[in-house]
Amino acid sequence: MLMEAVVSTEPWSYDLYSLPIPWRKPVVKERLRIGLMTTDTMRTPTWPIQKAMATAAEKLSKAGHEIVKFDPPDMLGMMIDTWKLYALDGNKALILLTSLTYISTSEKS
Amino acid sequence: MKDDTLVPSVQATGLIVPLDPTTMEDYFKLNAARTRRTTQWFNLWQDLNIDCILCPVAPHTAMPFNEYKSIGYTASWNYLNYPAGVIVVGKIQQSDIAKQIETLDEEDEKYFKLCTAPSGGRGLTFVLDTGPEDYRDAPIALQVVGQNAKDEETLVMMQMIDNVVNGST
Repeated sequence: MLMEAVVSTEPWSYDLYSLPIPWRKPVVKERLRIGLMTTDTMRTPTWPIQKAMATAAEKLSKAGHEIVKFDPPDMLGMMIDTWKLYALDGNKALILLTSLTYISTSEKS
Repeated sequence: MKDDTLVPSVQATGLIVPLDPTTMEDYFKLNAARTRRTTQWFNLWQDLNIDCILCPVAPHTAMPFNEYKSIGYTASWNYLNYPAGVIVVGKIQQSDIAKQIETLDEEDEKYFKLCTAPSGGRGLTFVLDTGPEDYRDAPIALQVVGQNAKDEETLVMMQMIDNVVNGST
């Protein structure tokens, strides 16, 4: 909303470095095609979640949306790489940060 | 170095443990793999011709304090750079607790036990010993995932799905 207000003033009329691109409204179809992913292939959701998924899918298709079931590819590989990307520095920074927090809280008490 | 500063659930994710730093070569490989997977997923979106993905937020609902560690349903979107949001759709009722379900492996079974089995014998020291009652009235939520850089569209779609699933009030 802030960005919309800023861009609506057409800043490119005053600012050399501002690109003349108006704010775009999101365009979404009225009838959606929704991909239904019931599992991440690693952990099966508990029963209440399975039920919620099924109910939601039923309601959505009754409302005219299309439901497409699909199996996500390579989720485990993605998780492993996510882990590696989170720990590029061997977690040095995070461990330093948590140890600093420990010191500062223990000093207070 | 003191490692007893971490919240048990953070520790359980295994995200903050000392490791060898990644080499530049491996880093490039990781980025290449990420690009490959992003392309694979992009093709999947194209093939299915879908606008958004509806999936669970986690394999379980809100858990007893300090038990949460299964981040597969959320970190993956982080990896692919997809915007995602969560819609609350209901609460766990007594009838859900009684429902038994076939389990897949040890880890799954642990979560199901938290949900379905009577108390005790779980071997987890943090858990309140009230069994499936821990889950009672816990909110159930679903996740809506949009495509890369379509954050605003995702918000609109979340609103649409919320209106349908929870009834537009």
